[in-house]
Amino acid sequence: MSGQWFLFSVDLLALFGIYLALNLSLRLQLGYTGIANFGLVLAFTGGAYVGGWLPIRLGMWLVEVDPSLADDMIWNNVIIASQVDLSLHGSPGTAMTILLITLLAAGAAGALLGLQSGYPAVRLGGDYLAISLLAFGEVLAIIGNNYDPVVGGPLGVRIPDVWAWAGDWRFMAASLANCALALGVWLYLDSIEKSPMGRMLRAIRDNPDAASSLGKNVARVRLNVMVTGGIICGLAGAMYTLYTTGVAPSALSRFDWTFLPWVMVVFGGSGSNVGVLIGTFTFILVQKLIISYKFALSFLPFDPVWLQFLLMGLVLILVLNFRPSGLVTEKASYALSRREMAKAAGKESL
Amino acid sequence: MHGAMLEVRDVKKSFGGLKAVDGVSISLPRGRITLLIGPNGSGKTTLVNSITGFLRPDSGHVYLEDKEITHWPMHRICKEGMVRSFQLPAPFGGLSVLGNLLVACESACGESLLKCPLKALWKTTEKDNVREAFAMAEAMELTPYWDAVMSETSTGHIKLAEIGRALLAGAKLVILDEPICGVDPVMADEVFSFLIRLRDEQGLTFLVIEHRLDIALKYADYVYVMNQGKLIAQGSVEEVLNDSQVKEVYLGS
Repeated sequence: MSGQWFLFSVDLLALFGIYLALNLSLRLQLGYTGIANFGLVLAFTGGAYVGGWLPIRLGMWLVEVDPSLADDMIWNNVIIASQVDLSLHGSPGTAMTILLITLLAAGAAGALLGLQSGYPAVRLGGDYLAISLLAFGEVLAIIGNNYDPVVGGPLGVRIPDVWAWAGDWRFMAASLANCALALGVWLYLDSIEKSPMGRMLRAIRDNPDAASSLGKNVARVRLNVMVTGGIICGLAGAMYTLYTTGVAPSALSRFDWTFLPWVMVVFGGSGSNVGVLIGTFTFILVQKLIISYKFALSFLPFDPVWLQFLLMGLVLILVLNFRPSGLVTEKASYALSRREMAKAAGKESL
Repeated sequence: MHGAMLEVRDVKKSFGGLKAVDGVSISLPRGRITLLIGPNGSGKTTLVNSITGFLRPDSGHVYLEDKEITHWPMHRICKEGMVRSFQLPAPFGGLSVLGNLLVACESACGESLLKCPLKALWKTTEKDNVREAFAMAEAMELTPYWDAVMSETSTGHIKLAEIGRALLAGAKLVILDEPICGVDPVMADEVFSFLIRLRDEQGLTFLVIEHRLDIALKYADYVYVMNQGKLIAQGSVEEVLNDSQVKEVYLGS
């Protein structure tokens, strides 16, 4: 494998991990519970800001840096980050401590954002819920762009590289970590599928009033789901920032981190983990291929970067017309295996 | 009256200038099937909505077994033993028939986002729930369809499953809003026979709203009649049918 292909694959893997985690969070909210979260970018941005704000301060505190630089963290952020990087090269322990603390804080930020956008929103239904969440999604972008101390305003900040200790394998390590996050979320959603939780969430999705009449506290459950979804998005946002070693509010657009995930999930099927995986992988691959082969596509009568948008629109129209539940459809499943159920019901077999 | 299953006192509910329910008081004795009838728009469903926490009544009081439950949310009222069904079929369409029944069973650990990954915490409860749900399916003759997706079964089966859900949720009082609406006559009689059996064998109390009087009146112990937001008559089936006001409302003077 040539170096170029290696880099291509590693970057693909890194983005794939981030998007898969994010999209599975959307599946939990949309596919299971019926919450049309058009503000996915909110908790993701929250996590990304934590990733932009915290590691550099933790780094200054944990390793030796010229203290006078702290007078203006934003102005000096590139110098501080490189000084911290130098120390992190030789001390994976410190780097992983920074990573862990950052993730904890990003998860907490995601949870808080899920809670604050969810609290008023879960009492709304359908379209109103979607619209208010769309509006919430914009809040952090506006703050981040206009208030420098968060992550440096429109210019953004550079942050220390917690993967610096891996040397040449730095990108590989970061990519695998992103995929590990996605795997964790995958297993969690799978366990929801195979527990009474899955059917309760689907009941709330299919008919919230009936679920409520059967004793389910619908508003509470929805809020819990939004908090959980927020935690996942927050973690994904922080991992993304740590992977790119920088964050700029303008790069955290609702297109990339709300609408693109929506198209991936709608395309693959919000009712299944495998569907979400297929949707995610397809879109990341196509996006990367278009960027890599931009020059080979110069015969197009328009700039090839627009190809992605055209394809997205086309896919949406096709999917919604011919396969509205996505490529992979939801299957009715049970918490117990058929054998366990037959035994419980006192039958030979089912 | 003390000891009634449900006591509703002077409940009022308006929508803008429309007095949908205008001071209605009813009392449901235990172990009886009470029928609530009246022409379209007379306020029957709004009354039920105000009693069951689906809507907040403007004034009045609701007592379930002498405990005041006015303004309680639906899920809390369910835990006290009152469960309602809806006028339109309300299946959990993406779940199977058995899944619909299982939703009504409680599983404190299995339905927690934190605890659900640990199967050991909820496995025993789930086995009990599956046993109960299958027994319910058996009783309602839904066993052959247990694995069918709910949205693909007939209206009659959906209505039956809705009653089954209410019972599995621990209902002592079941309020049914048009349980045989859109159901064929044979199945409709089956639904009511099932209610009679539940009344006699388990002492359950029912409040049933129904338009198809030809079928429903045969099974009612007591009847309330509403018109334009007010109660206009009550009594046994004969008493109500011979009431001049009821005749006027249903047949025109």
